[in-house]
Amino acid sequence: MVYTYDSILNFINFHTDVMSNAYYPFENFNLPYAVSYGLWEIIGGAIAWLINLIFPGNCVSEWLVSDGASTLFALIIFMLIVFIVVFVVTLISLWMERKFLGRMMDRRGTMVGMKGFLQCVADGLKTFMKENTIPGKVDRMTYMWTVSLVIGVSVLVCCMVPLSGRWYVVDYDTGLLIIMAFFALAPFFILVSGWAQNNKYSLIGGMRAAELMISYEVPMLIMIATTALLAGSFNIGDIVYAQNDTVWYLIPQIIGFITFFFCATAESERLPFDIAEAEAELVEGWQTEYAGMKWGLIMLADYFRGYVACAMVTIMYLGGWTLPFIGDGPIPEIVFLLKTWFVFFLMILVRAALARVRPDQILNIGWKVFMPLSVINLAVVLLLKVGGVF
Amino acid sequence: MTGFGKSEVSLPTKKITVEIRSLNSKQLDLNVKLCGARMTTNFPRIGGVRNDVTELFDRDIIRTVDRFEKAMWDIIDLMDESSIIVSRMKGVSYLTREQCANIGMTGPAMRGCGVDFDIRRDDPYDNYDKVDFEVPVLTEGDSYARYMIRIEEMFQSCDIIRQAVQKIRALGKNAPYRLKTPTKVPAGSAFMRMEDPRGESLMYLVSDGTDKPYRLKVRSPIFTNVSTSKVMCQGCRIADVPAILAQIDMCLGETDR
Amino acid sequence: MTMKYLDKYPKNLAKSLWVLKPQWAVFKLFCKNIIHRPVTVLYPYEKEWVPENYRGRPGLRYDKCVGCGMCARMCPTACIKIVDSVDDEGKTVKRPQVNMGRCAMCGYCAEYCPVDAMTVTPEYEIAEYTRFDLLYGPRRLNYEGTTEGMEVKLEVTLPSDIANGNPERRVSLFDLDRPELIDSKCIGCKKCAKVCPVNAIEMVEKGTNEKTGKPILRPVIDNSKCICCSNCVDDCPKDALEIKEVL
Repeated sequence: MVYTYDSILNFINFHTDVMSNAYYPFENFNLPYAVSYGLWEIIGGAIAWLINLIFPGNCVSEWLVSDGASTLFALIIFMLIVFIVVFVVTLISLWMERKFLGRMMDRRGTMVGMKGFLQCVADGLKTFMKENTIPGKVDRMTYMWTVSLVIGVSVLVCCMVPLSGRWYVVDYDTGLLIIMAFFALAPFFILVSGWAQNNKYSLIGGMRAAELMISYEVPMLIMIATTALLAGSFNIGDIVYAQNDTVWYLIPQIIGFITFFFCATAESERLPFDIAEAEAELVEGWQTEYAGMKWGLIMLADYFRGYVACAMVTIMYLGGWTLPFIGDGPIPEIVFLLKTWFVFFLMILVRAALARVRPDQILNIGWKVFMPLSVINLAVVLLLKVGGVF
Repeated sequence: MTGFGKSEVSLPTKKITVEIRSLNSKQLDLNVKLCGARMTTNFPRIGGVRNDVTELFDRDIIRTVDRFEKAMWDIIDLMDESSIIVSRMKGVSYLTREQCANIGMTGPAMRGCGVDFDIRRDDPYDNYDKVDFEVPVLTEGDSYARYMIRIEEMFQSCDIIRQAVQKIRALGKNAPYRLKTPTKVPAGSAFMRMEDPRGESLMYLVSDGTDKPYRLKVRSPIFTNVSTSKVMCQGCRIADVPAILAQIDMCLGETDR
Repeated sequence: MTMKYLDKYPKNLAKSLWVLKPQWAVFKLFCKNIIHRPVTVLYPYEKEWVPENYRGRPGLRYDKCVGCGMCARMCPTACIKIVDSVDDEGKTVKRPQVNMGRCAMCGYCAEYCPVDAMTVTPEYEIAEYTRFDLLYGPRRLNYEGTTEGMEVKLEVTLPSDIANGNPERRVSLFDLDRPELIDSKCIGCKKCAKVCPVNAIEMVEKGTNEKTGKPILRPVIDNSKCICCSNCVDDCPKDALEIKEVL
């Protein structure tokens, strides 16, 4: 039998245009998809070549590098890449909080491991290795499902935020609304999980967290509608490029910026609105009975939501990923991330300076101060729009 | 000074906690220079104090007090200018003068409710009649008034310290700092009350003629102030309780002296 | 005397969201901390400065100690024990042994040492792995670099001096009080002479007993050598000696 040697280059077609694939799932150029497609070409081609060495001329190797299968595997790697990038960005914002909060309090933050970054990773590993205890009398199904849903929905929202014109998961016309809708699902799960834990402090904590979040979503929605009014559509790309054409929406909507910023801190359960956790009055609020990994993931979900809130502030008020006079810079993702981290720095400043607000005062402020402010903001924008400025 | 620091920070602001602790550490450094330890100073002795003032100690005191006052204005910036903290304390837990006298509260909390009595001014011991200070009294009787009294007392303490340092400087090098006291005391009893940062504390000593005391009782002001928390917390929310209980600066280890 | 704080505050914070000034104060502190270092002391790489008279663990100067036991008597936690130890010339002498596990670092042993052999030292890192290692024998208590500032002097002013118009004079507590003999109680057992650490007591004949013919011995205290450690007062079986205080 003649043994023909198939070189590996038969299986790796590295320089094909990714968009010429018949099954290309997006409309424009998508950077992480291109990277993952390239990765699959290398990995899949290598696997196909290996299998071909053992069984020459088989159909599995051909299938592995065909169009449809390539798209499928490339999408899987694409999901991984997007999640890893988001995870690293959130870890960086967690590191930033610890270090900057330390410096604001006249002390150093975490010191170990690359200026303290690996400390966050070490903390995650520590919570991962703890024993996963489930108390006896909880409602097991709800207990496990709600925490997974809280974390899952937070990560989902995080991945849906586009970092630039070419880094997106789905480019849909109602982008901002969908992000806000998923963001707002969390209070329901928190309420149910507080109930499921069979503990009166968790129930009270869950109810308080839910009432806080629900009452602060109303001004947020009004302001999202205001921004969409000013830009003309809900599509995130459109909003960003509209700000590039005219001025950053920070300037006409300054009241809106401040109100949205505080509503975002309330939604992420940060100081000064953190009645749901880190409490001297309730033990740990709705997270009391969660041990080990679940608690670690809930903490991380808090930072995911903080990141999404900062990202929304950046998109709506600070011009997204564009620079003022240049438009799209060379690496718009870095510009976007820097702006998001700057907004997060403002949130850290607020956390360091202010004390915790009493729960009834929080609701007071939410309904009696922030909602009228957001309506005033809407009125200002309407005047500007009618007056023909925008 | 430090009693205030540890009490007011129960309103959870980590930044203020850290600032007050760093101020506290400057004061502890002073303690180290004088008597060799930061907190367990062991300084008073029967008949005086343990050792004479060390070199350049008056310069260190004045420096620390100046730095303290400057930092205090920074902390007041953080606390009084922030409407969150003020609105948590204003209008919370009113106490009238009669209630105050009936439940036996003493100290700054009492002066915040309108009772104008301070042992240092009205029944002076040590050398308090030789220094010049004012006693702040407010009549509102709510949590915010008690907080303001404590801060004002801190500034008055700084003034007292500066005057005391001047008088010590005027005394001269070898002024007596410890008198020799007999070890065998004639039989009898003695009673003394003092103004602590928390209130009024008493000491009562009975001796029977030998060199060992027959009875010594020390009562700290928290012993009576703890029972006032019941009256103070009536009618308030649970979220107000840390702000209220911090006013009386409860240190339960001291209750049981 | 003006009330500095109460004159300035309270302002009427009518607006319920006035939170700007704290944030400005925090921002200033943040900028200062980026440029200079924070107040944190990175122990164990950096240590705080301690002055000379810092009350760390007690230290002993072996050659100055006379073995009087005053430190053991004064220690509030009963951590000092007087043990036998061999000094440089081979004789067996009594020296203190300190149990650091119980030591509260109060400095009383240094204060009440009549010859200033016990001192305070600035050493405070004395953690060990077993409790047995925490027993510091007399040789181990030695601290290299004991300076003048580490002794704790016990100097008092006598009320009689103040009454005489001489308030500047300070005497050491151990220079004036001396034991005094009650002649009727003494039985001449010579125990006080054996116990005195500085050999300040000499038994002297003061007549002869009529019945047995043996000499009557009475102790005579040499005031210049006595350090007022009250060992003789404690050991006398008939309580014939008591300290006479000079006020």
